[in-house]
Amino acid sequence: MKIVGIKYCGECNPEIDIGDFMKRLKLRLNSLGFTLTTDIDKSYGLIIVNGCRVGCLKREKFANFENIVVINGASIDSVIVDESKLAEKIAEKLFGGNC
Amino acid sequence: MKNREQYIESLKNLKTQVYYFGKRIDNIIEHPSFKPHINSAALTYELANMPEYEELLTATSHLTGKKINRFTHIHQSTEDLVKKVKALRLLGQKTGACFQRCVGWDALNATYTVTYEMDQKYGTDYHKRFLEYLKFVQENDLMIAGSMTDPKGDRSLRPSQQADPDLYVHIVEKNDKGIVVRGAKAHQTGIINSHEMIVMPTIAMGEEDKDYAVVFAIPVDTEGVIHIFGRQTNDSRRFEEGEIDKGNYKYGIVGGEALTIFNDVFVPWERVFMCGEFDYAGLLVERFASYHRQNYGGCKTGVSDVIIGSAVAIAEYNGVAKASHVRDKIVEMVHLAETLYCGSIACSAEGFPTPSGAYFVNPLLANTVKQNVTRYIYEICRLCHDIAGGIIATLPSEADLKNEEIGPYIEKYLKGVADVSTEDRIRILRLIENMTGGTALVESMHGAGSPQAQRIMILRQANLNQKKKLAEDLAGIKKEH
Repeated sequence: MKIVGIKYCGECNPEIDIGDFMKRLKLRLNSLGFTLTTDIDKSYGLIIVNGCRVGCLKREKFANFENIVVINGASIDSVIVDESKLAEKIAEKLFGGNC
Repeated sequence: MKNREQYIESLKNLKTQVYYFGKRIDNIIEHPSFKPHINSAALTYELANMPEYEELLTATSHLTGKKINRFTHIHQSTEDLVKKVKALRLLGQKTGACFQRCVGWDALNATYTVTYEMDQKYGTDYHKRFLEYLKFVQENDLMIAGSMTDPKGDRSLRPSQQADPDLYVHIVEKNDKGIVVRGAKAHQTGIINSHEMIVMPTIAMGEEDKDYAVVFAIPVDTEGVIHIFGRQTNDSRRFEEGEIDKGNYKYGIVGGEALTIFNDVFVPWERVFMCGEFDYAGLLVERFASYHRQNYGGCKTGVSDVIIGSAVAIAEYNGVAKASHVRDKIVEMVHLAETLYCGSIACSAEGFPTPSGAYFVNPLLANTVKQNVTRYIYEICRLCHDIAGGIIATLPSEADLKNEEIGPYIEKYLKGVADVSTEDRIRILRLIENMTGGTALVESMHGAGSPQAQRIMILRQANLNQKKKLAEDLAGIKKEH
């Protein structure tokens, strides 16, 4: 199984239900043969999870990753997304037409 | 870094002298009065080891380059100061209470900055000693109590003028090995379940108070140190069966405070970080107090998030969630809480480096935040009481609810909306009772200094002459400036 890295902002005041989002994300990625890891050095791509629109954790901090998706609350790479669709959209961003 | 279990285990190795209800308490870990406070502090260890929270609750030591618990970190940037506030909000949300470690954290940062400046002026080696101590704290992920408030006796008199010289902690002996201190510190948050304490002066000192200008660090179980644990509102409910009547049964309220006595306590020189430099006592107090006042728009906002959540829940359980006046009150609660948060973020974003390189908050804004906390938390709690109703003051006990004979009456007559159980309604009401009254409120008023202490610092930094000049210029008043 391949692995995708995940990095959290620290979640001081999230606008989305992180627990629910993570459940959906794990299920979706597993269905594509991927699993999540916090050991980001060994991962294919990186998902940055900011709990709100402030987006404390910036893309620039992880410049060595080519394949990054940034969640700022209910948005992906600054585009607002229905919260229940976040996991699906992340998979599309990461794997394009392969999912 | 320690984890939750290692922290709790480490407390077992201490021989801390604790008294409560007239008795010596040998096992604080399993004692119902201390357990919630230990749980709360333990969360600072537990969450720091979780990837979801590590960005806020860990940092990289500027001394060793190692990953450390943020509660032992020296702020290296405004980003660090902002992360501090966010970490405190997070923990306030998770505990609904005080998690105690910020006091020692602020003591570490204040002592770090002031020892550096003292050494620059006097050629002393306090900062070097402190760096060794800091490495020890970071390496062992220790919980530090910040010990500032002396009993103060007659407030109109200086420390050296008191009828009883022990009403402020002072040096009674110096020898080639160290110093001996006597006195007491009041309101010692989390000290019962800390590893170490940093003792600091509580006010600016003059030359006549030289022996009172002392900063040092010792283990909380040092010989001669006695802790007398304070009472809290409804604390005897912790001895009762069940959990409902305790409200926030897992984490308690505020931090668990004690009166700590120093009976001729020996402190080795390597643990002494100020010894008679009276002209730096005021600076240390200002640094510590400003760092500590910064916190209150973080942790209290987190706690307010829980109080607001409980108001939303009880409004739903009572069937009044859609009433416009209820919604408006909830908006007001959110507005007040976020105003506090704004202040803490602002004083952090406007932080600046001290000569040591460690960052300090904007003290005017930090004092303004804390001043607002002395008012807004009361208002948030008042609005919560308004929404919850008088039932928070008249609820029957959990024992009655569970009683076979009368419990069904309580189930029947204290029911709210159909889809919420009576027990759940009572649980939220008890949480509100616990979090919004008595000890919890007073802590917002006096924790990190009483309102007047903030007003003195606000006035000192208000730059009134510049404001006067602005007005005079606009009014066309010609003066030779």
